[in-house]
Amino acid sequence: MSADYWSSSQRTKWQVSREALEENRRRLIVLEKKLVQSGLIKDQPHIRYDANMRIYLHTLLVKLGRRLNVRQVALATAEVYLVRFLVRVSLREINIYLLITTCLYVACKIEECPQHIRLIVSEARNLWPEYIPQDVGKLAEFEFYLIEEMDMYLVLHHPYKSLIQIRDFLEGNSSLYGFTLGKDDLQHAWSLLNDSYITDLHLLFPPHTIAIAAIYISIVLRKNLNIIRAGAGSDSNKYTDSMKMQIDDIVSITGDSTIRSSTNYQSHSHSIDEDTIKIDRFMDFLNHSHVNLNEVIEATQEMISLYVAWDRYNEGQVRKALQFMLLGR
Amino acid sequence: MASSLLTIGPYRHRKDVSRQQVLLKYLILGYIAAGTYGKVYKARYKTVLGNEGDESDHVEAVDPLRMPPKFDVNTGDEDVQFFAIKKFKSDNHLSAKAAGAAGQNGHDINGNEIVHYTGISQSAIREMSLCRELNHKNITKLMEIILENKSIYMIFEFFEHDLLQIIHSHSHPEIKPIPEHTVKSLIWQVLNGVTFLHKNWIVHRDLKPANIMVSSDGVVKIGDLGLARKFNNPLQSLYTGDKVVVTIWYRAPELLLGARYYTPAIDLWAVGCILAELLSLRPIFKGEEAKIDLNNKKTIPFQKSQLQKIFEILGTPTTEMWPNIQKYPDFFIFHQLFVHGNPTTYSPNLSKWYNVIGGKNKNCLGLLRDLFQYDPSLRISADEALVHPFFLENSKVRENAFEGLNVKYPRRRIYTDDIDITSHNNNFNTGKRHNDEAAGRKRAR
Repeated sequence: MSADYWSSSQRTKWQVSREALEENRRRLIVLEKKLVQSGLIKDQPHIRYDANMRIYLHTLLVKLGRRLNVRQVALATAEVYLVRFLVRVSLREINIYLLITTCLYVACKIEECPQHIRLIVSEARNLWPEYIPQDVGKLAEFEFYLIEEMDMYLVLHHPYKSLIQIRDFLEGNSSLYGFTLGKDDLQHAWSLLNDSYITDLHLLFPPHTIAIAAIYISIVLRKNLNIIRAGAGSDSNKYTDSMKMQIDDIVSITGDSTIRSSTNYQSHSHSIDEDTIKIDRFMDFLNHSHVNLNEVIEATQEMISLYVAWDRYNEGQVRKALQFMLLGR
Repeated sequence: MASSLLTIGPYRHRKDVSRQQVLLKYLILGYIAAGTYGKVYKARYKTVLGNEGDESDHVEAVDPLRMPPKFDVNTGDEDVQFFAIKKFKSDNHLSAKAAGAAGQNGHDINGNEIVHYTGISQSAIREMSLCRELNHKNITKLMEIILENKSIYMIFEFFEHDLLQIIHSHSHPEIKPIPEHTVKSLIWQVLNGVTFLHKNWIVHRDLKPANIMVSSDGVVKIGDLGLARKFNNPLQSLYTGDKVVVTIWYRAPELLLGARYYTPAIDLWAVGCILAELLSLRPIFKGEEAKIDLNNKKTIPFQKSQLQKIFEILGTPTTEMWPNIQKYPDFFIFHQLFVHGNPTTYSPNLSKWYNVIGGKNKNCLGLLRDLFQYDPSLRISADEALVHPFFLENSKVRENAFEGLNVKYPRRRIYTDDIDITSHNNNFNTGKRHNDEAAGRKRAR
């Protein structure tokens, strides 16, 4: 239903197992081979839907979204549409720039902040003049195919709402669980969620699981930041508590990404003790919550490995490969 | 190659060869209604027809797109499943202009129609996406959606009756009231469906007798979610985007006073109007709609006549009845027209109205009163209404609203003059005479 994730099409129709996802992607590779054999597309095996590509697509979408000043939720919806579409369609049989624009166009309508088709096409053309056809009919045509490919299931439930709900719940029950999510925790978790759309998480797990993973990472990250800060000694004032996630910092905790393992760190700093207590209390809350902890761990690991990949991200490489494929130069 | 990729050529080709075609699956029997949104057709599966092996395939091979129904549609047996296929009118001026530019009145030199993609309208997107999520026994069920050749086909379960038609057959040729237990069961099921919508944060915004279907076994099915939308996180007021909602006779007073941030309570007002209409067999507030000035579409006209009809029965609202009335955008003009310098302010008259139509049930009158609360924050909610004393007293609500009723309602009339569902030039305007309100229906008979 539209109010309820549990009976939503997102869960009943579009939530898949990792195995099913992999199977679908194998089928796509077979499809690509067939398309190449029948001469419909050129053989460009280096165009792959890998982390590099996914980060690139994400940045394109965010760029267009910023230009149009669309709400975060519309952006998030567009990202899920993109991932869903690419479960069934090969990157190599479409124009990815037109796809991104179409995803955002449909998402804005669904999230009740519609953008005029002419405006969105002209903004996209400003960003990518060589890839976006001037004729708005091309975008309108793709809209049909995008919606069809998703089997006309368009309503989504995002973890942002779960994040706010958990924050509010913890605030309302602070005497029971002994901690709340501060403004910074919330901001960190929020930006982690923004990035989570690069991954497959939204096809694999319910929104609250992803929200909890984001909270977990931001609490642990905070602890790690504090450790780094404590280690840096007098240099600590250099550190600014920026809203933006520091990739290196997250990478640095991948070593002990298993839940709870980071609590073995014994520090003498008072603030670190507080952080450790906070993590413990959050774990208490999770244990009470009946949330599937294995899924939370999986989601946490996937988000962390995203940042590892991001560290090696090479935008120019992807851009050039796509240019070669789409324009033949 | 490169340019074909830019316009998704390879992918489009792959999809087009394997697409499900609406006319290969469904046989169009005629159309049921037409309106500004498009047209609704009655259809059945094709395979049912082809009882001699591949006969239907053979027929389709001749001309799959323009096959007329070749049997009498009214002899259909009871166990055939019928569908209502809603086809959205392909939007807006863009396509007309582009087609005009091609000369030949939108046809190419071979006489084929030239159609262009123009972007799916907000209301079609809403209806598609909401219907795809909803599953409830009192909401029309969406079977599937087919996107084909630049058209959207929404395939719903077909229902033989609707409340407008039921009201009509009780008032023509002579008046014979609908038994109270039938009214009770119908309206309870309407409220049950509305409760479901509201629990899902959906406000329907176009409840009226014509949009409430009833199956032949007496189950209410709320239809036409073309104006429905979610209201759980409106960052913009609901007013933005859709300035006018709800057919005039069923429009709540807060909408008539220009409310920007209205609530699901507008649906309950409409349910009140429907209940009153089931009881009296005519619209309770039958105002004259002030039309939008086509030269000045931005100004929404003040609906004086409609408000007057409401006040004549419910009384001119006062700040005692409706504390926030002064905050509505059109309060001033209301005050000018109906209070200030107006010698005849109306006093509440609902119980008199109820007596005149022959009503005897205090609980029923009570429910009407609760649904017709002026102040939307005091108006009864859908789930509260489900347990109203009217529904709990002796004669109980029935799952089959027709139970114990010895009236046989006629089947839904269908029109066969324009049944080419694939045409992009469906004559929606001539269709309109068969549409909606009772007047049109009378003429069609």
